[in-house]
Amino acid sequence: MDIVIETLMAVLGLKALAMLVLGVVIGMVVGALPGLSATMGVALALPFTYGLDPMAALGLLAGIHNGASQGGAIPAILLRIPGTPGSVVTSWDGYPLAQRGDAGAAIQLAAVSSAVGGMIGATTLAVLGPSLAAVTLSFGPPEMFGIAIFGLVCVSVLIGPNLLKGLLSALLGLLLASVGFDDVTGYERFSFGIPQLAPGISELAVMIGLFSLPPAWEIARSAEVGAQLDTVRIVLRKGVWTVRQVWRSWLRASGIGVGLGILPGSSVGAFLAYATERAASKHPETFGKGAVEGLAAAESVNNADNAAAMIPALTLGIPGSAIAAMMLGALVIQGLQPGPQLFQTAPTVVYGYALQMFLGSALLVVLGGVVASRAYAQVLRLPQTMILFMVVAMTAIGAFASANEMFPVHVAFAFGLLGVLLRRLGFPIVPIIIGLVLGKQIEFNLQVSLMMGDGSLLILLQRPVSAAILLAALALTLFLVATRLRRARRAMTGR
Amino acid sequence: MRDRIATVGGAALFGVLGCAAFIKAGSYTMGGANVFPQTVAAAMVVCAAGLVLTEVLRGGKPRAATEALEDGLDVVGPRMLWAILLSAIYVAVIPYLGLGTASFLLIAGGSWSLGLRRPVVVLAGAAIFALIVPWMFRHFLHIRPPAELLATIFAGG
Repeated sequence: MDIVIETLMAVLGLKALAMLVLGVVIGMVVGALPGLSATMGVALALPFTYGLDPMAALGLLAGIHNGASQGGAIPAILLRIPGTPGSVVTSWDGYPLAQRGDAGAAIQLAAVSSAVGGMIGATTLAVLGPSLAAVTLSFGPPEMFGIAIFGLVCVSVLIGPNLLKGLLSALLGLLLASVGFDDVTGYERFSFGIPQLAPGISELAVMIGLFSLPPAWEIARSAEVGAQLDTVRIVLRKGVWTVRQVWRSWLRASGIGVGLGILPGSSVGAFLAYATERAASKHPETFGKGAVEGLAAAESVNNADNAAAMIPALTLGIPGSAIAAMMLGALVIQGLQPGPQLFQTAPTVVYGYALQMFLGSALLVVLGGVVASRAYAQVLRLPQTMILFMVVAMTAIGAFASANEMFPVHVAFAFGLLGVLLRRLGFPIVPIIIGLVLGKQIEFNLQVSLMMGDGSLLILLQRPVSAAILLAALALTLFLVATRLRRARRAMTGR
Repeated sequence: MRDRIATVGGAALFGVLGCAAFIKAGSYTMGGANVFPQTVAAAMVVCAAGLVLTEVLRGGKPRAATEALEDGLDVVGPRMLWAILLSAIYVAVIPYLGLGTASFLLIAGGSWSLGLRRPVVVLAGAAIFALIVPWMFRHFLHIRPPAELLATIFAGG
C-alpha cells in the first residue's frame, strides 16, 4: 500500500506531471515532422535528464515516446508521409479517409486507438513485470549470459532482412563494449592512449550520434512538404467511426503489440496487426481505401508495444529496442542499476514509469485530438532545412552535456558518419546499440560462469535454464535461416 | 548490382575490422582479458566471410524485395554531403566560437545555403535556438558550454 501511495505521489507531483505533458507535446511535434522519429526524440532529450529527478526524467522520456508514436500519424493521414517508421501502415487507410474529407475523424480515431494500445501495454508492464523480475532474480551468471545472448540474437536476426548483417552489427556493438577497462581484470583495452576512452566508450554519445545525425542529414535530400498542407482541411465529421465498430480491432492489435513488443527486436507488429484485421474483416476489400478497422489496428499496435518493449528491459535487463536501450541509459544517468533488482531497490521508479506510460497514453486523447492536431500539423510548415541544422546543433549540445567536454561531441559525430555509411551498405543500426548496452553484461557473466565451471564453457549447457535459452537462440536462428533459404529458392524458381 | 557491391564492401569492412581487433586483443593476455574481444572479433570475421560467401553463391540471381537496399539510399547526393561538411566545420569551431555563436552560424548559414530564402525566419529561428538552448543547459543542468567568443570580446572591450 505504501508503494502505491509513494508511486502516486511521485508521478502526480507537479514537476513529474509537467514533464510528462511536456514530453507528450514534444513527442507529438517530433513525430509529426517527417524524418524525425521517436528514437531521435528520446536520444536528443536524454542529456536534458541529467538535471532532473528520476520521475521527472522518465516522465519526459515516456511522454516523448508515446507522443511521437501518435504524432507520426498526423502527416501519415494528412499527406501520406509517415512521420515515423511505425506510421507507414497508418497512412494506408488514414490518407484515403482524409481524401474523403474525414481527416478530423481519422486523426481522432488514431489518437484514441493509440491511447487504448498504450494503456493496455502499460498495464501489462505493471502486471507482468514483477513476476518476471522475481523469476529473473533467482538466475545466476550462466542464465543471465544465456538471456543476454538470446536477446542479442533476437534483435540481430529479426530486425533486418539479412541475418548476417544483423549479427555483424551486433558484434560491432559487443566489440565497442569491450573498449576501456575490463570489469573483471581491470585491464585497459582498445583505448589507444586516449584517456577519455579508458572508462569505456560513451553509450549516450554513440546513441545520439547514430540515431540523430543520419536521419537529420537525410533531410537535406528531401523536398519541403509544408505547401501540400494547404489542400487538406482538418474537420471533424461525426459518425465516421464508432467504438462498437473498432473495439475488437483495438484488442486484437494491442494483444499483438504486447506479444511482439516483449520479443526483443520485433518490428513487424503494425504489418501483422493490419493483416490480422484484414483477414478478420467481413469487408477486406475496404482495406487500403479508408477502413477504420485498419487505421485503429495500426495505431493501437504502435503504442501497445511501447511499454511492452520495456518488459524485457526492466525484468531481464535486455533492451528489445533502441528506445528501451536509451531508457536503461536514462536509469543509469539517474544512478539506478537497470535489471530485475530494480523492482526491489526502486519499486517506485518502475511502477511510476508504468503509470507514466499509462497516463502518457491517456493524454494522447486530449493532446492528440482534432483541435491539437491542427496546431501540430502547422509544424509541417517549418522549414525542414532549418530543422536539420537544429538537430545537428542539439546533438552537439547534448553530447557535450554528457561529460562537459568536446570528446563526446566528436564521438557522436564519428558515429553519425558511421551510421550513414552502414545505412548505405544495408546494415541495421539498432543491433549496434543493443550489443553496446549488453556487451559488458555478457562478458562479465561469461567470465564469472567460466570461473564457476573451472574454465569450462560446458557449465552453460549443464544448467537447464541457460542451456534451454541458448538452444532457443540457436533454434530461432536456424529457423530463420531455413525460412529465408526456402523463400530465396522459391523466388529463384519463380514459384 | 549496387546491392551486391554494398554487401561485399560492408562485409570486407567488418572483416578487416574483425582481423585488426583480433590481433590487437591478442596483446591483452592478463587474466584472460583477451578472451571476449578475440571471440567477438573471430565471430565477426566468420560472419563477414559468410556474407561474402552467400553473395558469391547467389551469383547474379535476383534479390528478394525485402532484402534490397532502400531505394535511393546509395546516393548520398551533394546536398547531404554539404550538410555533413557544414556539421563537421560546426563541431570543429565550437571550442573557438562557443556553442551559441557556432549554432547560430550553422543554422542560419546552413539553411540559407540549402536554399531557404526567408531571412526573417532563418535569422529569428537561429537566434532563438542559439540563445535559448545554451541558456537552458547553463541554468537548468548547470553545465557550462564553451565560452562564447562574442561574449568574451564584448566583456574584454
